[in-house]
Amino acid sequence: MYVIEALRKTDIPDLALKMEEGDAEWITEEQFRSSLCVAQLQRIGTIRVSSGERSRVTKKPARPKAHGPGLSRPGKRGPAPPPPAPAPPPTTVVKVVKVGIPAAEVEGMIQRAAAAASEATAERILAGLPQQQTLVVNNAGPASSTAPSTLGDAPEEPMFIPKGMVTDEENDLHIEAESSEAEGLGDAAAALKALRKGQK
Amino acid sequence: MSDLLGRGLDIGTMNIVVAQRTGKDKVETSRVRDAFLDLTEDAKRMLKLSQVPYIDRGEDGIIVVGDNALEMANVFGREARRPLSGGLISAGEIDALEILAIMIKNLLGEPKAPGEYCYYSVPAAPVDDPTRDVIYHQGVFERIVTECGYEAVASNEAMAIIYAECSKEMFSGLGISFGSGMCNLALAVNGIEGLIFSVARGGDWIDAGAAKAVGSTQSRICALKEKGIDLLAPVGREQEALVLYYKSLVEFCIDQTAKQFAQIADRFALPKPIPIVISGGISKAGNFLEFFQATFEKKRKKFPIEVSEIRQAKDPLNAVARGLLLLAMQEYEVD
Repeated sequence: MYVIEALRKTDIPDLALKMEEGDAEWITEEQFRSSLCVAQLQRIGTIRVSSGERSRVTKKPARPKAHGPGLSRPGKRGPAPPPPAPAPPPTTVVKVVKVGIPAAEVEGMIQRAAAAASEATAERILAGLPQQQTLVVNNAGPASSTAPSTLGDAPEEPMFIPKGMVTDEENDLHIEAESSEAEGLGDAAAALKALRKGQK
Repeated sequence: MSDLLGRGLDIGTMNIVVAQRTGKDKVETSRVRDAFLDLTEDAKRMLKLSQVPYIDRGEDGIIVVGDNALEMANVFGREARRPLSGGLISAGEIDALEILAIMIKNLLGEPKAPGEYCYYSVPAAPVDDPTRDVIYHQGVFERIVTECGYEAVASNEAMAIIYAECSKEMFSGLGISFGSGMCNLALAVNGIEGLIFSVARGGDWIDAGAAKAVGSTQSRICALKEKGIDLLAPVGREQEALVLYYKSLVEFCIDQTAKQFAQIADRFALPKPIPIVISGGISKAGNFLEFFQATFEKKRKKFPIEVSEIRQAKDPLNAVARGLLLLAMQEYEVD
């Protein structure tokens, strides 16, 4: 379909149309091609013919407005524009489609699937570790865990202080000993005793 | 019998000292040098001829312990090994625990009664080296003393000086133990701890610094120091280097005391001036007291604690052990 717009008052005899200025008439493609009057009137600028379809020419994108400060001195370069904002991280949108399964159940399925995936990953990692490290990982869980532990119970005291450092073996060492008067020791003991008694 | 119970054990980097009463008015102090030397079996004959006691470890050779280790080290051109380093158990010395157990067992002997109280000295954690703590050190000695048959009680080294030397001030004072591995400091009023800390510098730090300054060795400087040095009249560049490091150490201790006290000043009242009591092996250097006093006088104006006097412990090598003995004796005092 074509549309004829009359730019002035005119007649189109071969199509039997009378048009006032500003009128618009729709014609078929066949009429448009067969009419000599339309072609002649279009050439002399009495009418304007256009296709009824939308233009397929894409519009140029709008240029972004410059946000920099106005230049007080035209011709000089302004400050560098701020760097573009980093692109947001890709997000995975989980869309729950209602196909007869309740949303709560779907969510539960997702969680179970995630747990199974992480367990499988952990097992794969553990399988690649030496045995000793595996033991440490297995025992790193909470104290309330009922999983069997391959390590014995931790000792009450740190293990790095060895027991049995003092042996029955007799050793003769050169020990320098000197005896002296317990000068003031008795008085000091009495003073300390009195002080502690007073502080109680 | 209970009058004679209780022991004080001072575990130092250079010496281990035990104090005990042998009579109502008698105190016996026993000391062993905190050093040892491992030798091969070939040295046995020579040691027997020299009447030097040693520990036979079979295929592992023999070990000489204490002062003899230092003497033998000079004879064999070796360096004596030290079970303690910087005031704490030496991490790199694999035989340290075995040797320390032997030394302490021989010094303490059998308890006079089962579970006799033995107070042993523990340094405070050094403020200038936060990587070091005293937890392992304290745990090891608690076990050794316990295995010797005693009831082990840990007590701060510098506080022991206040107990030993400040009875007339009712146990108020600032005690400083100038040791070989570190210096321990404690401030107390009426026996109540206000401040305890240590600095990771001591006699070994002085020797190492002076040796580096004059291009000498640490053992040579140590020997020179122990031979006797007058801090107010040094002779030669080695002694002058030593004096510089002594001064630096004293100034550091005074400055650190002021700094640490500033943190507790608002909650620890000092009702009257207190004495400073200096003790420890390196305080035996000639004129150390006068040297300390002169250094302190230059800093007195800015020092936040009012000081009544500065004095030296009556027996600088044994003051800590005596203070610990006093604490052990308290366990047997009847109200």
